[in-house]
Amino acid sequence: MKWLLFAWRNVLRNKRRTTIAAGTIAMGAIALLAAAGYVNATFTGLRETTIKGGVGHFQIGAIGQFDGYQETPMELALPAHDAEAVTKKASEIDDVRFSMKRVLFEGLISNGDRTVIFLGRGVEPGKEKKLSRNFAPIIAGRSLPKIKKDKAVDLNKVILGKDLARNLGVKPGDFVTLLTTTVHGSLNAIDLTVSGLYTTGIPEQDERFLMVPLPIAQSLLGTDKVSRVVVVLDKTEVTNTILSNLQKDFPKLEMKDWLSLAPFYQKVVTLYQSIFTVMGAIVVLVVLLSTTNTMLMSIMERAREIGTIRAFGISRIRLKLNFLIEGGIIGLIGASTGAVMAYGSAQVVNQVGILMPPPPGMNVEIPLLFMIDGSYFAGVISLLIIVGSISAWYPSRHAVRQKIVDALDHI
Amino acid sequence: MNNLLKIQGLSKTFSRGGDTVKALDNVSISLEKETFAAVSGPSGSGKSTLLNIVGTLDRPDSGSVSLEGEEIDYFNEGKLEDIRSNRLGFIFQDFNLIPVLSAVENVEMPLYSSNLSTSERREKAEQALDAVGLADRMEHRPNQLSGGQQQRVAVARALAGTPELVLGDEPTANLDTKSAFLLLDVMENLNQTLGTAFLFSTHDPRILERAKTVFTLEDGVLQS
Repeated sequence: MKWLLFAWRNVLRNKRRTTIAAGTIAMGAIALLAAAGYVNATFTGLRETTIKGGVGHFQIGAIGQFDGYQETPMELALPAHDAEAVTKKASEIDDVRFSMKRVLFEGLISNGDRTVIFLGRGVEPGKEKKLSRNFAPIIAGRSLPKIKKDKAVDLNKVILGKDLARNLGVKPGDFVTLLTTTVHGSLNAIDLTVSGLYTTGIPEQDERFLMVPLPIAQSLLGTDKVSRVVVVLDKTEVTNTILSNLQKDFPKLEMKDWLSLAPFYQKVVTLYQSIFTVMGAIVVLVVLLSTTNTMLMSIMERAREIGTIRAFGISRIRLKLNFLIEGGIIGLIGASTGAVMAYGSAQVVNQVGILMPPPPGMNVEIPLLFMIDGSYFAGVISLLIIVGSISAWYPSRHAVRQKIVDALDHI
Repeated sequence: MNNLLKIQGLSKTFSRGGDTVKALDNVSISLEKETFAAVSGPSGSGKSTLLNIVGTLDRPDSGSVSLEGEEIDYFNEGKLEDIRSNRLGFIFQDFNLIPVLSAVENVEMPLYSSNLSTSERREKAEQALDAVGLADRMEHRPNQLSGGQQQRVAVARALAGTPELVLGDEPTANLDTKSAFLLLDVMENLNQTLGTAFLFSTHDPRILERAKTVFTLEDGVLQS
């Protein structure tokens, strides 16, 4: 306590210099927290976009379903009773919003004159729209009809990726024929009306993809199986808990969370984290150099005092430690001030709702958000306390190594 | 055995700007306990160097210094710190008080490395300040004290750890006559009541008159 008080008095000795050093650290804290808050908001936004973009919170399939290779269509699909059982069980869990089934298939699509390969998806359109308002954004015609159990609806519809439609030369209202191999190995075909054209924003997908109502896909493939059950939750944070609980009930099914199904997310996170690390390191280095300079002046002008204190038998280590405490105190003052300012600024920016230009592949402006949580505050404040201490390390090392007689002669 | 300090064949050379200066040349001195002694000589005669070496603030090139029969090992920093902390006290010409600490806190500072409790430390510091007549200035910062008062705080600080020997490097050099006499009275009184030995470097005749023993140095050589 006596040493802490001594360090505190020394910090207050030259208030202007302490203010400058603490101010530099405060700016560093603001920069680090703003960057961390922005990156966190970006990660969160990307995560939710990924989930709502069709991946869901997790997906359930037969063992091997997610490995990608199947000898025959629907070879690794979920039998209808398994799909029903897992859907029913999931619906009983509090945080589960809903679950929906999908059939993934491929084949040939023809308009009579031209035939091209397609990648198809049998979906429950009503539930897909519940997951994402941007489900298959229609650019011409209409979306797929909702499947209603109590009402007869003409489900013989298909929506095509816009480039697939262009290659075929079809438009909404035209007829196309889908040809594929059934689960039994025979060929099957179905004539459907083009309901609409959609775009995913990714040219490769728009050139190959189409969607049909789930019963149509099952009928074409000659099965009641489904490829995957997609589970959608109220909040992303509980994904792993619910997944592992459900996995215990269905050990023979394979379950993958959204993170495993969206490898690009991890790549983006890694990229952003690398950028943030480099930027953070530069900020820390600038703060460190600046505060080291201030600490150097502060310590060197006390050379005679250091000599005097050492003449009393106070050890070098003790003295050096006290300089580190001084640096740490300045770090704490600066970082705390910066944290308060960063919090206030983030609140203001989040409330004002500043819009950023659309990122590549999107046509909607995105809000500028800073999501700074408690762990970031704790981390940045701790880091800058350490930086403050390190900034005192070199000057103090130099000062306490000086011969006592030389230090006492210092003017 | 009444011998406090024994210096034998002490030599010290400095190199400055290519020149070699022999600050101490084969100096041998013995000092008894409870003495009030002074080292005199003109500027550059080696007085401060001698005190610095005795005070373990500097190392001799050759020779030895023994405190109560125990030779000082100048290469053992831990032991030197222990000697400075428990057996020696220092009074500097410029007082060298820590400006951010009050008078009583300055006096407490050398006791920080002791095992005393906070209250014991404070009590010792208050007693030392009382002994130098500054009981009413305990909470004053150095800049609120006169030069004479500051030097008395420095004396209290030197004595707080009850050392065997207090070393003073020109302690009255920056004081007016009145303050210098007051300081000498205080130190003489403490020497007699506490039995603490004092060794000053000085060419102040006021100290030399009152010193029981005077050693004279000229060009680093002890004059007989």
